[in-house]
Amino acid sequence: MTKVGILFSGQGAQVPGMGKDFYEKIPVFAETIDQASEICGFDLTECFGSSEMLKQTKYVQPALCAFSYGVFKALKNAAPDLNVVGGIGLSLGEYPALIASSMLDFETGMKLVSKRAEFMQEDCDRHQSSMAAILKPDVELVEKICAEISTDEKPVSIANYNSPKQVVIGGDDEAVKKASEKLSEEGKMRVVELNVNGAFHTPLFRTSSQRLGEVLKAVSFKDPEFVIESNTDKIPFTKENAAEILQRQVMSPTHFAACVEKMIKDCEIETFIEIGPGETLSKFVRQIDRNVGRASVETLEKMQKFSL
Amino acid sequence: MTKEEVLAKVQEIAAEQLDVDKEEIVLTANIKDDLDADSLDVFEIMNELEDSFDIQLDADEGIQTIGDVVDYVQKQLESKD
Repeated sequence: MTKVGILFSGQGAQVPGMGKDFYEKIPVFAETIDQASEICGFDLTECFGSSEMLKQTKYVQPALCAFSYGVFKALKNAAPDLNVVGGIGLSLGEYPALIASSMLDFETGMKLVSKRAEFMQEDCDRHQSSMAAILKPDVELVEKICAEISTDEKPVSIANYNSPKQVVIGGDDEAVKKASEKLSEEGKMRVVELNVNGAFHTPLFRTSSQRLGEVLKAVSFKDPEFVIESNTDKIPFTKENAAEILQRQVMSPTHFAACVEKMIKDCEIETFIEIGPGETLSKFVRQIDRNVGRASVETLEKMQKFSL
Repeated sequence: MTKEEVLAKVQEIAAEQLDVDKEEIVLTANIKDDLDADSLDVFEIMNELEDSFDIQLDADEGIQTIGDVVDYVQKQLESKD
Protein backbone atom coordinates (compact mmCIF):
# COMPACT_ATOMS: atom_id res chain seq x y z
CA MET A 1 0.00 0.00 0.00
CA THR A 2 1.26 3.46 -0.90
CA LYS A 3 3.22 5.01 1.94
CA VAL A 4 1.81 8.44 2.63
CA GLY A 5 3.27 11.48 4.35
CA ILE A 6 0.96 14.29 5.48
CA LEU A 7 2.01 17.96 5.17
CA PHE A 8 0.51 20.47 7.59
CA SER A 9 0.63 24.13 6.53
CA GLY A 10 2.20 26.90 8.51
CA GLN A 11 1.07 30.45 9.18
CA GLY A 12 0.63 32.41 5.97
CA ALA A 13 -1.49 29.70 4.33
CA GLN A 14 -4.73 31.13 5.73
CA VAL A 15 -7.25 32.54 3.31
CA PRO A 16 -10.67 34.06 4.09
CA GLY A 17 -13.42 31.53 3.45
CA MET A 18 -11.24 28.56 4.34
CA GLY A 19 -13.05 25.53 5.70
CA LYS A 20 -16.57 26.73 4.85
CA ASP A 21 -17.19 23.79 2.49
CA PHE A 22 -15.97 21.22 5.01
CA TYR A 23 -17.89 22.82 7.87
CA GLU A 24 -21.17 22.67 6.00
CA LYS A 25 -20.83 19.15 4.63
CA ILE A 26 -18.56 17.10 6.89
CA PRO A 27 -19.82 16.55 10.47
CA VAL A 28 -16.48 15.34 11.84
CA PHE A 29 -14.84 18.57 10.65
CA ALA A 30 -17.62 20.74 12.10
CA GLU A 31 -17.37 18.95 15.46
CA THR A 32 -13.61 19.51 15.58
CA ILE A 33 -14.02 23.21 14.85
CA ASP A 34 -16.82 23.67 17.39
CA GLN A 35 -14.77 21.94 20.07
CA ALA A 36 -11.79 24.13 19.22
CA SER A 37 -13.95 27.26 19.49
CA GLU A 38 -14.97 26.22 22.97
CA ILE A 39 -11.41 25.49 24.03
CA CYS A 40 -10.04 28.75 22.58
CA GLY A 41 -12.87 31.00 23.68
CA PHE A 42 -13.64 32.53 20.30
CA ASP A 43 -15.70 31.49 17.29
CA LEU A 44 -13.37 29.85 14.78
CA THR A 45 -15.99 29.83 12.03
CA GLU A 46 -16.12 33.62 12.31
CA CYS A 47 -12.32 33.73 12.17
CA PHE A 48 -12.23 31.53 9.01
CA GLY A 49 -14.36 34.14 7.24
CA SER A 50 -12.75 37.29 8.60
CA SER A 51 -9.75 38.75 6.78
CA GLU A 52 -9.24 41.08 9.76
CA MET A 53 -8.93 38.23 12.27
CA LEU A 54 -6.81 36.18 9.88
CA LYS A 55 -4.22 38.97 9.87
CA GLN A 56 -3.59 38.51 13.59
CA THR A 57 -1.20 35.87 14.87
CA LYS A 58 -3.23 35.26 18.03
CA TYR A 59 -6.25 34.12 15.99
CA VAL A 60 -4.56 32.59 12.94
CA GLN A 61 -2.54 29.98 14.78
CA PRO A 62 -5.44 28.30 16.62
CA ALA A 63 -7.57 28.63 13.48
CA LEU A 64 -5.03 26.88 11.24
CA CYS A 65 -4.32 24.19 13.82
CA ALA A 66 -8.00 23.30 14.18
CA PHE A 67 -8.55 23.51 10.41
CA SER A 68 -5.67 21.16 9.64
CA TYR A 69 -6.64 18.62 12.27
CA GLY A 70 -10.28 18.78 11.14
CA VAL A 71 -9.28 18.15 7.53
CA PHE A 72 -7.00 15.32 8.63
CA LYS A 73 -9.92 13.65 10.42
CA ALA A 74 -12.15 14.18 7.40
CA LEU A 75 -9.48 12.59 5.20
CA LYS A 76 -9.16 9.58 7.49
CA ASN A 77 -12.94 9.15 7.34
CA ALA A 78 -13.01 9.44 3.57
CA ALA A 79 -10.05 7.10 3.11
CA PRO A 80 -9.87 4.80 6.15
CA ASP A 81 -7.23 2.55 4.58
CA LEU A 82 -4.79 5.38 3.98
CA ASN A 83 -1.33 4.19 5.02
CA VAL A 84 0.01 7.25 6.82
CA VAL A 85 3.59 6.59 7.88
CA GLY A 86 4.84 10.12 8.46
CA GLY A 87 4.05 13.78 8.75
CA ILE A 88 5.76 17.15 8.52
CA GLY A 89 4.25 20.40 9.72
CA LEU A 90 5.80 23.69 8.80
CA SER A 91 6.34 25.64 12.03
CA LEU A 92 2.82 26.03 13.50
CA GLY A 93 1.84 23.01 11.40
CA GLU A 94 3.84 20.82 13.76
CA TYR A 95 1.05 21.17 16.33
CA PRO A 96 -1.77 19.63 14.24
CA ALA A 97 0.82 17.08 13.08
CA LEU A 98 1.56 16.07 16.68
CA ILE A 99 -2.17 15.96 17.45
CA ALA A 100 -2.85 13.84 14.34
CA SER A 101 -0.12 11.43 15.37
CA SER A 102 -1.69 11.17 18.87
CA MET A 103 1.41 12.53 20.58
CA LEU A 104 -0.69 15.41 21.89
CA ASP A 105 -4.37 15.23 22.76
CA PHE A 106 -6.54 17.71 20.92
CA GLU A 107 -7.58 19.83 23.88
CA THR A 108 -4.07 20.18 25.27
CA GLY A 109 -2.75 20.91 21.78
CA MET A 110 -5.29 23.66 21.13
CA LYS A 111 -4.58 25.27 24.50
CA LEU A 112 -0.88 25.12 23.79
CA VAL A 113 -1.30 26.73 20.38
CA SER A 114 -3.47 29.48 21.88
CA LYS A 115 -0.75 30.29 24.38
CA ARG A 116 1.95 30.13 21.73
CA ALA A 117 -0.08 32.48 19.54
CA GLU A 118 -0.61 34.93 22.38
CA PHE A 119 3.09 34.99 23.30
CA MET A 120 4.18 35.38 19.69
CA GLN A 121 1.68 38.17 19.09
CA GLU A 122 3.21 40.07 22.01
CA ASP A 123 6.73 39.62 20.65
CA CYS A 124 5.47 40.80 17.24
CA ASP A 125 4.03 43.92 18.81
CA ARG A 126 7.20 44.63 20.77
CA HIS A 127 9.75 44.80 17.97
CA GLN A 128 9.60 46.19 14.42
CA SER A 129 10.49 43.12 12.46
CA SER A 130 10.10 41.80 8.94
CA MET A 131 10.95 38.94 6.61
CA ALA A 132 12.08 38.57 3.01
CA ALA A 133 12.25 35.60 0.66
CA ILE A 134 15.52 35.03 -1.20
CA LEU A 135 15.02 33.23 -4.52
CA LYS A 136 17.57 30.78 -5.93
CA PRO A 137 19.74 31.48 -2.92
CA ASP A 138 23.43 30.90 -2.51
CA VAL A 139 22.77 29.73 1.04
CA GLU A 140 26.32 30.11 2.30
CA LEU A 141 26.49 33.67 1.03
CA VAL A 142 23.11 34.49 2.58
CA GLU A 143 24.33 33.15 5.91
CA LYS A 144 27.56 35.09 5.62
CA ILE A 145 25.90 38.41 4.76
CA CYS A 146 23.33 38.02 7.54
CA ALA A 147 26.08 37.25 10.05
CA GLU A 148 27.99 40.38 8.98
CA ILE A 149 24.98 42.64 9.51
CA SER A 150 23.36 40.98 12.51
CA THR A 151 23.84 42.40 16.02
CA ASP A 152 22.30 41.41 19.35
CA GLU A 153 20.07 44.48 19.25
CA LYS A 154 19.19 44.22 15.59
CA PRO A 155 19.43 40.61 14.48
CA VAL A 156 18.90 39.14 11.04
CA SER A 157 19.25 35.48 10.09
CA ILE A 158 17.81 32.74 7.92
CA ALA A 159 14.46 31.78 9.42
CA ASN A 160 13.18 29.23 6.90
CA TYR A 161 15.14 26.81 4.75
CA ASN A 162 12.13 26.03 2.55
CA SER A 163 13.45 24.50 -0.65
CA PRO A 164 16.52 24.60 -2.89
CA LYS A 165 14.90 27.57 -4.61
CA GLN A 166 13.89 29.57 -1.58
CA VAL A 167 15.06 30.61 1.86
CA VAL A 168 13.51 33.31 4.03
CA ILE A 169 15.47 35.73 6.16
CA GLY A 170 13.96 37.52 9.13
CA GLY A 171 14.82 39.88 11.92
CA ASP A 172 14.86 43.53 12.89
CA ASP A 173 13.32 45.75 10.19
CA GLU A 174 16.46 47.77 9.57
CA ALA A 175 18.78 44.76 9.57
CA VAL A 176 16.54 42.90 7.10
CA LYS A 177 16.58 45.94 4.79
CA LYS A 178 20.36 46.16 4.93
CA ALA A 179 20.76 42.45 4.29
CA SER A 180 18.24 42.57 1.44
CA GLU A 181 20.14 45.37 -0.29
CA LYS A 182 23.44 43.59 0.04
CA LEU A 183 21.98 40.29 -1.18
CA SER A 184 20.50 41.84 -4.28
CA GLU A 185 23.45 44.12 -5.07
CA GLU A 186 26.45 41.99 -4.17
CA GLY A 187 24.85 38.58 -4.26
CA LYS A 188 22.71 39.25 -7.36
CA MET A 189 19.85 37.39 -5.75
CA ARG A 190 16.21 38.34 -6.08
CA VAL A 191 14.77 39.46 -2.76
CA VAL A 192 11.03 39.65 -2.14
CA GLU A 193 9.68 41.43 0.93
CA LEU A 194 7.03 39.36 2.66
CA ASN A 195 3.87 40.67 4.21
CA VAL A 196 4.04 39.01 7.62
CA ASN A 197 3.24 39.71 11.27
CA GLY A 198 6.76 39.31 12.53
CA ALA A 199 10.09 37.60 12.07
CA PHE A 200 9.24 34.18 13.46
CA HIS A 201 12.06 31.69 13.98
CA THR A 202 14.60 34.35 14.86
CA PRO A 203 16.08 35.41 18.23
CA LEU A 204 13.41 38.14 18.43
CA PHE A 205 11.11 35.42 19.73
CA ARG A 206 13.27 34.53 22.72
CA THR A 207 10.63 35.74 25.18
CA SER A 208 7.94 33.61 23.50
CA SER A 209 10.27 30.67 23.72
CA GLN A 210 10.85 31.12 27.43
CA ARG A 211 7.17 31.61 28.21
CA LEU A 212 6.17 28.63 26.07
CA GLY A 213 8.77 26.55 27.90
CA GLU A 214 7.00 27.26 31.19
CA VAL A 215 3.67 26.10 29.77
CA LEU A 216 5.23 23.02 28.15
CA LYS A 217 6.52 21.82 31.54
CA ALA A 218 3.00 20.73 32.40
CA VAL A 219 2.34 18.93 29.11
CA SER A 220 2.90 15.21 28.66
CA PHE A 221 3.38 13.66 25.24
CA LYS A 222 2.63 10.13 24.05
CA ASP A 223 4.36 7.82 21.59
CA PRO A 224 3.60 8.75 17.98
CA GLU A 225 1.32 6.69 15.74
CA PHE A 226 3.39 7.85 12.80
CA VAL A 227 6.71 9.66 12.55
CA ILE A 228 6.67 13.47 12.80
CA GLU A 229 9.96 14.99 11.68
CA SER A 230 10.97 18.11 13.61
CA ASN A 231 11.67 21.26 11.55
CA THR A 232 14.08 22.45 14.17
CA ASP A 233 16.34 19.46 14.74
CA LYS A 234 15.63 17.32 11.64
CA ILE A 235 14.95 14.29 13.83
CA PRO A 236 11.65 12.59 14.72
CA PHE A 237 9.71 13.95 17.69
CA THR A 238 9.56 11.59 20.65
CA LYS A 239 7.58 11.90 23.87
CA GLU A 240 10.88 12.69 25.58
CA ASN A 241 12.20 15.41 23.25
CA ALA A 242 8.97 17.11 22.10
CA ALA A 243 8.60 19.74 24.84
CA GLU A 244 12.18 20.88 24.62
CA ILE A 245 12.15 21.07 20.80
CA LEU A 246 8.84 22.95 20.68
CA GLN A 247 10.23 25.50 23.13
CA ARG A 248 13.20 26.22 20.87
CA GLN A 249 11.15 25.96 17.65
CA VAL A 250 9.70 29.49 17.84
CA MET A 251 13.14 31.11 17.79
CA SER A 252 15.09 28.61 15.64
CA PRO A 253 15.13 28.26 11.86
CA THR A 254 12.85 25.73 10.14
CA HIS A 255 14.41 23.11 7.86
CA PHE A 256 11.47 21.96 5.75
CA ALA A 257 13.60 20.89 2.79
CA ALA A 258 15.87 18.70 4.91
CA CYS A 259 12.85 17.14 6.63
CA VAL A 260 11.26 16.19 3.31
CA GLU A 261 14.48 14.62 2.04
CA LYS A 262 15.01 12.72 5.25
CA MET A 263 11.45 11.46 5.39
CA ILE A 264 11.56 10.17 1.81
CA LYS A 265 14.69 8.27 2.69
CA ASP A 266 13.89 7.03 6.21
CA CYS A 267 10.14 6.40 5.88
CA GLU A 268 10.09 5.59 2.15
CA ILE A 269 7.27 8.06 1.55
CA GLU A 270 5.78 7.63 -1.92
CA THR A 271 3.20 10.41 -1.81
CA PHE A 272 2.84 13.56 0.23
CA ILE A 273 -0.68 14.83 0.86
CA GLU A 274 -0.93 18.51 1.76
CA ILE A 275 -3.75 19.45 4.08
CA GLY A 276 -3.65 23.15 3.21
CA PRO A 277 -5.08 25.73 2.92
CA GLY A 278 -3.10 26.47 -0.24
CA GLU A 279 -0.47 24.35 -1.94
CA THR A 280 2.72 26.05 -0.82
CA LEU A 281 4.24 22.96 0.76
CA SER A 282 3.53 20.80 -2.31
CA LYS A 283 5.35 23.35 -4.42
CA PHE A 284 8.35 23.16 -2.09
CA VAL A 285 8.23 19.35 -2.26
CA ARG A 286 8.35 19.48 -6.04
CA GLN A 287 11.38 21.76 -5.85
CA ILE A 288 13.02 19.36 -3.41
CA ASP A 289 12.26 16.02 -5.10
CA ARG A 290 10.47 15.71 -8.41
CA ASN A 291 9.94 11.96 -8.16
CA VAL A 292 7.81 11.79 -5.05
CA GLY A 293 4.00 11.92 -5.47
CA ARG A 294 2.01 14.97 -4.44
CA ALA A 295 -1.66 15.54 -3.71
CA SER A 296 -3.63 18.26 -2.05
CA VAL A 297 -6.92 18.06 -0.14
CA GLU A 298 -7.37 21.68 0.93
CA THR A 299 -10.96 21.89 -0.31
CA LEU A 300 -13.84 19.42 -0.08
CA GLU A 301 -13.96 19.18 -3.86
CA LYS A 302 -10.32 18.13 -4.00
CA MET A 303 -10.78 15.67 -1.16
CA GLN A 304 -13.74 14.04 -2.90
CA LYS A 305 -11.72 13.66 -6.08
CA PHE A 306 -8.72 12.37 -4.16
CA SER A 307 -7.47 8.86 -4.77
CA LEU A 308 -4.03 7.30 -4.72
CA MET B 1 12.44 37.08 -31.13
CA THR B 2 8.82 36.54 -32.13
CA LYS B 3 5.89 36.69 -29.79
CA GLU B 4 5.35 32.95 -30.29
CA GLU B 5 8.90 32.17 -29.23
CA VAL B 6 8.58 34.29 -26.10
CA LEU B 7 5.23 32.71 -25.27
CA ALA B 8 6.69 29.23 -25.63
CA LYS B 9 9.39 30.03 -23.07
CA VAL B 10 6.88 31.70 -20.72
CA GLN B 11 4.67 28.62 -21.00
CA GLU B 12 7.53 26.32 -20.18
CA ILE B 13 8.62 28.34 -17.13
CA ALA B 14 5.14 29.09 -15.80
CA ALA B 15 3.99 25.47 -16.24
CA GLU B 16 6.99 24.32 -14.25
CA GLN B 17 6.56 26.90 -11.48
CA LEU B 18 2.79 26.59 -11.13
CA ASP B 19 2.52 22.85 -11.75
CA VAL B 20 -0.14 23.23 -14.46
CA ASP B 21 -0.33 21.99 -18.07
CA LYS B 22 1.22 24.18 -20.74
CA GLU B 23 -2.14 24.27 -22.51
CA GLU B 24 -3.58 26.25 -19.62
CA ILE B 25 -0.97 28.97 -20.04
CA VAL B 26 -2.75 31.05 -22.68
CA LEU B 27 -2.29 34.76 -23.37
CA THR B 28 -5.60 35.69 -21.73
CA ALA B 29 -5.03 33.63 -18.56
CA ASN B 30 -4.94 35.75 -15.42
CA ILE B 31 -1.90 34.59 -13.47
CA LYS B 32 -3.34 34.88 -9.99
CA ASP B 33 -7.01 34.13 -10.64
CA ASP B 34 -6.86 31.53 -13.41
CA LEU B 35 -3.54 29.89 -12.65
CA ASP B 36 -3.68 30.09 -8.83
CA ALA B 37 -0.28 31.73 -8.54
CA ASP B 38 0.64 33.43 -5.28
CA SER B 39 2.74 36.57 -5.23
CA LEU B 40 5.98 34.65 -4.71
CA ASP B 41 5.21 32.48 -7.75
CA VAL B 42 5.11 35.62 -9.90
CA PHE B 43 8.54 36.63 -8.59
CA GLU B 44 9.93 33.16 -9.24
CA ILE B 45 8.62 33.20 -12.81
CA MET B 46 10.15 36.64 -13.40
CA ASN B 47 13.41 35.41 -11.93
CA GLU B 48 13.53 32.43 -14.31
CA LEU B 49 12.65 34.65 -17.28
CA GLU B 50 15.42 37.06 -16.38
CA ASP B 51 17.93 34.24 -16.43
CA SER B 52 16.58 32.68 -19.63
CA PHE B 53 16.50 35.90 -21.65
CA ASP B 54 19.30 37.75 -19.87
CA ILE B 55 17.10 40.78 -19.21
CA GLN B 56 15.98 42.78 -16.19
CA LEU B 57 12.36 42.48 -15.04
CA ASP B 58 10.54 44.14 -12.17
CA ALA B 59 7.78 41.97 -10.82
CA ASP B 60 5.58 44.97 -11.38
CA GLU B 61 2.01 45.03 -10.10
CA GLY B 62 0.88 46.01 -13.59
CA ILE B 63 1.21 42.41 -14.73
CA GLN B 64 -2.06 40.51 -14.66
CA THR B 65 -2.14 38.06 -17.53
CA ILE B 66 0.27 35.81 -19.40
CA GLY B 67 -0.13 38.23 -22.32
CA ASP B 68 1.18 41.04 -20.09
CA VAL B 69 4.22 38.94 -19.24
CA VAL B 70 4.94 38.19 -22.91
CA ASP B 71 4.59 41.87 -23.88
CA TYR B 72 6.83 42.93 -21.01
CA VAL B 73 9.54 40.42 -21.90
CA GLN B 74 9.43 41.52 -25.55
CA LYS B 75 9.70 45.16 -24.56
CA GLN B 76 12.75 44.46 -22.39
CA LEU B 77 14.32 42.36 -25.15
CA GLU B 78 13.91 45.23 -27.62
CA SER B 79 15.39 47.80 -25.28
CA LYS B 80 18.37 45.48 -24.79
CA ASP B 81 19.21 45.37 -28.53
